[in-house]
Amino acid sequence: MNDESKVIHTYTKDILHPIIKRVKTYLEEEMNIDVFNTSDITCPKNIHLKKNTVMIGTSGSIKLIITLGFDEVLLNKLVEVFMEGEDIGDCDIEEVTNSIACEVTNTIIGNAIDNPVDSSDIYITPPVLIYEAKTLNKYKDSKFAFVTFITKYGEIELTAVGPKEQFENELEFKDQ
Amino acid sequence: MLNVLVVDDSLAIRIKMKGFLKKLGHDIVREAKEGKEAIQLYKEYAPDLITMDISMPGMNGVDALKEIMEISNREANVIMITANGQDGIVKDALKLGAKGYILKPISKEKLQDSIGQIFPEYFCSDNVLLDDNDLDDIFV
Amino acid sequence: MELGNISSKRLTLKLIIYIFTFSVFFTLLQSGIDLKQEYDNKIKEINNSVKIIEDNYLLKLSLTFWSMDNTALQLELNSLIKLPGVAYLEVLEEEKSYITIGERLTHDFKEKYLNLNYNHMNSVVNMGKLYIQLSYTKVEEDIIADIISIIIKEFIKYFALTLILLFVVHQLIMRHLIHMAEFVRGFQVRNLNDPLILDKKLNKKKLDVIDDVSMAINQMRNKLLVFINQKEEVQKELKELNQTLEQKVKKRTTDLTLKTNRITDLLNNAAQGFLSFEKDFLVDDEYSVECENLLGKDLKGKDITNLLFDGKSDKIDFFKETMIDALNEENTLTSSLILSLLPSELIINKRAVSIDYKILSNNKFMMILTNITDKKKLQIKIKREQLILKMIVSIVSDSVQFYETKQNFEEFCQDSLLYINSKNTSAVNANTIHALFHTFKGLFAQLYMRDTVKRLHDFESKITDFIESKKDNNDLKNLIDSFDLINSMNEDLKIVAQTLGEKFLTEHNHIKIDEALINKLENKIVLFCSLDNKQNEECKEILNDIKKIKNKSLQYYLSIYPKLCQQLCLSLNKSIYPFEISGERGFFVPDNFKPFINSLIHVFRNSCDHGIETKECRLALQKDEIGTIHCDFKKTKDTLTIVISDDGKGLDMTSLKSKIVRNSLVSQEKLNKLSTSEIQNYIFDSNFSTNENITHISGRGVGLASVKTELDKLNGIVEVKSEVNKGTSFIFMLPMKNN
Repeated sequence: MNDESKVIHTYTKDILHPIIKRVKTYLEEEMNIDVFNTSDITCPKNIHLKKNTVMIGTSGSIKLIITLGFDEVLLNKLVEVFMEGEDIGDCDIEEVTNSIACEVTNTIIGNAIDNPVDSSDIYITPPVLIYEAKTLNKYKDSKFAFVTFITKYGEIELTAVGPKEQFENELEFKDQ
Repeated sequence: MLNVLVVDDSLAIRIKMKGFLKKLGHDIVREAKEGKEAIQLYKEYAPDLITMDISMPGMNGVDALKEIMEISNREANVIMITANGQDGIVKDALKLGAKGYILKPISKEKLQDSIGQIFPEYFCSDNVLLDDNDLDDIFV
Repeated sequence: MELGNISSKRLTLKLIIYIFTFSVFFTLLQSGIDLKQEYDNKIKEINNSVKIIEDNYLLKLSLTFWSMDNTALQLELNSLIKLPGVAYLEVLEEEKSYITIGERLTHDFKEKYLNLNYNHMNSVVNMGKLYIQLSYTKVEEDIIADIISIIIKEFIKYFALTLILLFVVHQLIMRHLIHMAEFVRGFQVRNLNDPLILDKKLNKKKLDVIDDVSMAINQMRNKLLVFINQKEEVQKELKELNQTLEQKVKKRTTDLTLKTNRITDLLNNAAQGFLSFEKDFLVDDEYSVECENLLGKDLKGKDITNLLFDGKSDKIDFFKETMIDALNEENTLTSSLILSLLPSELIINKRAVSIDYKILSNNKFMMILTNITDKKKLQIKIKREQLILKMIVSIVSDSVQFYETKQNFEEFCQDSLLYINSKNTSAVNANTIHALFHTFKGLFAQLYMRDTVKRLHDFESKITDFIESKKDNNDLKNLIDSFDLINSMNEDLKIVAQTLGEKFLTEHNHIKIDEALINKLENKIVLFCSLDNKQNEECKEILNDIKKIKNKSLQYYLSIYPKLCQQLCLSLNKSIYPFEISGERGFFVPDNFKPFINSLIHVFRNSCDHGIETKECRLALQKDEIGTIHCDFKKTKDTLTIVISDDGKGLDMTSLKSKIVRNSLVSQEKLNKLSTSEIQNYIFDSNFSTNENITHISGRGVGLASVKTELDKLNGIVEVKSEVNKGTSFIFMLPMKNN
């Protein structure tokens, strides 16, 4: 394996796979939404992000940007299950929806992230919602990974992009 | 009935946490969105219990915990909430004096257990019993 | 004794030597001095002799010599020679010897010439000389004799002295010393009873050193004796205590061993691994047997972290760090919270193990390991079953969707190559196919047909790859061929067939039609047929076909019962032979018969519940272990006869009768007048049940009553034939006109 594929292999095995697993178990166990299928991990040249995408960065010895994008219908279902039995009161439903998207992402990534390199802790940033659908283009040294989860209510897209330095907060690619 | 201060940057979590605490019969004194606010509110209201999210923008939960421990001379009851399963961070919090931790996703049961460990009078997970329906199904 | 002698001899020898030497020395000194003095004196004397001669005798001698009186001279010389030391006298006259006396010496002499002078008339006339020879030889001889005698004397003296000394010393000292030495040597710890008694007079007032020593020895002996006695007593006590102690220890050890064995037994049979270790993380000696099953043999002294984490050093480090932190934490709550950070489930040697951690009071750690592999496998199994269930449920509840999708996909599989339009590029074609796959994938996903979805997804990715690879249409064709599309659904469909039956899959050849519509159609046809007399035959056929659409055969309606009976008997722990409904196949019954036929379930239930006995019962009655239930129908002329029979235990007439009376259905007298079959017909009475216990299957007595109700509606009758232990038959007869 050359270096690039070695790195991707590490990312894949040790970082992505736990996250993928956690997405499935979280949806199935916490939200009672079955994940019919999971795509393989692909490395496309560009990725078109869904409207409701949440971004989380990691720091420490592994620096990545991870995004989780939800289909509208699916997200609504998540809100329904999450807020079951709770009175939302006079909170803005959109705010709550966004908050839940962030929270779900935060929980999944937080639960699943584990440092394969050394035993030092990886810190994850608080989640950030990306409002407009973005396109990510693969550029030079950035490494992409992309996974889709299919559920009854819609799809979830997971992307992992690294290294972190190449992106600004809104995922516009930083000019070199 | 305890007076609880809920600290979390996520609106959804705050709503849910309030819901659980109400169901468990406790009162929510205030909410905070980040560390500094939490410290301020602690000083003002001196709640019986604080639920503290670890990762928040601005001052994070562990730093806020540290200060609150200093102010209260390690007597404040703080339960850390974290999504991050990494034990190093949690251990640090425990060593600073946190009296419990809950891994997200939060459930009423987890909250009850953690509260019960600090305030034994609210602890009742040992008393989970099988009811008649369960008995019917178990021995089929 | 011998030694004593030798050592005493040595001592005395030493003594002798010392005394001897010193006294000899002194004596010699003294004697020497004396002898010297004597010698000097004698020499002096001898020397004096000359002076004497000179002073006293010389004149006379001179006179005599003058007078030439030789005799007198001789006499005088004689008297002179008697003077000490004088050895030779010679009177010399003009150097010639005149008269001599003594012997002339040739050596060792001293000579002196004295002038013989005579005073004659006032003049001194020298007449000659007197030559004197003094010899000291005598003195010397004397001295030597003296010396010799002294030596001899001394020798004798010392000899005697020695003996005396020896004797004295021996008497006074040696003897006692030897005795004491013997005594002390003979000191046996057990034989201290005899004191030292010296063989001498003990004058209490005049005690000498020997007495002192012997007394001291005796004192010592006494003390020793006392001490030894004490010691012996103490030893005895000690021995006794020792014995008691040993007994106690023995008992305690046996108790302890017993207890330990019991506990070890418990722990070993608990099928849980208990082990403990200290800060060094090396497993302690005692652990339960299950630990070896989970972690391997010979765990004593092995590093637990290696066994758990198989060399993953960062996990090991975290584990050790956390354990130590928990140990050092004083607050028990915090300590247990820290422990909760440790992995509660691990996979060790391909087994799922749950682990509990505890800190023991003596700063040790304890781990309780439980093998939960079975549990986990069960969980997985349950999960899989759940998913299958989901699939079945969604297929059944959404069956239209299912059949449609299935059919569409089958069509797609057959026509797949048609989508490869040679006019388009392979990329375009591939995209089309990709989109189709995607659509089907979604549809199957909704039906939870996971396996199919997975395969389609696979194909989708391969198509994507193909698009990138920029191959041509031919290659696309080959790719599609390689997918073997037609068999994609097989796995899922197999499960469906297993659960819902093969028929379910093929049933989609049927169309569901609203029944009202059929009736409408039927009525129209009847009307039409009645109007058109010419087509009579055909009309009849058409009406028949319509009827067939609406109606199902009696076979069909009754066909559920065999399976039902099987299931029922299984749940009641009874066995029956599988059976089929025997009767005309294409025989149709009108709709209004359906409720009655549905109610027959109660009859079958009764057969299974009350009729057929358990295996043991049947064996005891020497019947076939496995029971038989029959169901057949026959149409004769105007009557449809349905018979349901079993070879069970039959109706219990006695309890039947008593129940009838008890329920006050009929008085006892009237009962006696009734025939068997009349009595048996009472089982169709509502609220009648000879079964005391209401099971969830039957017993309420409602079942047969409802059968009767339905039967009555159709104007049918029923006959019950029952023989104890032989069986029961229900014969239903329903009037039925020919179509």
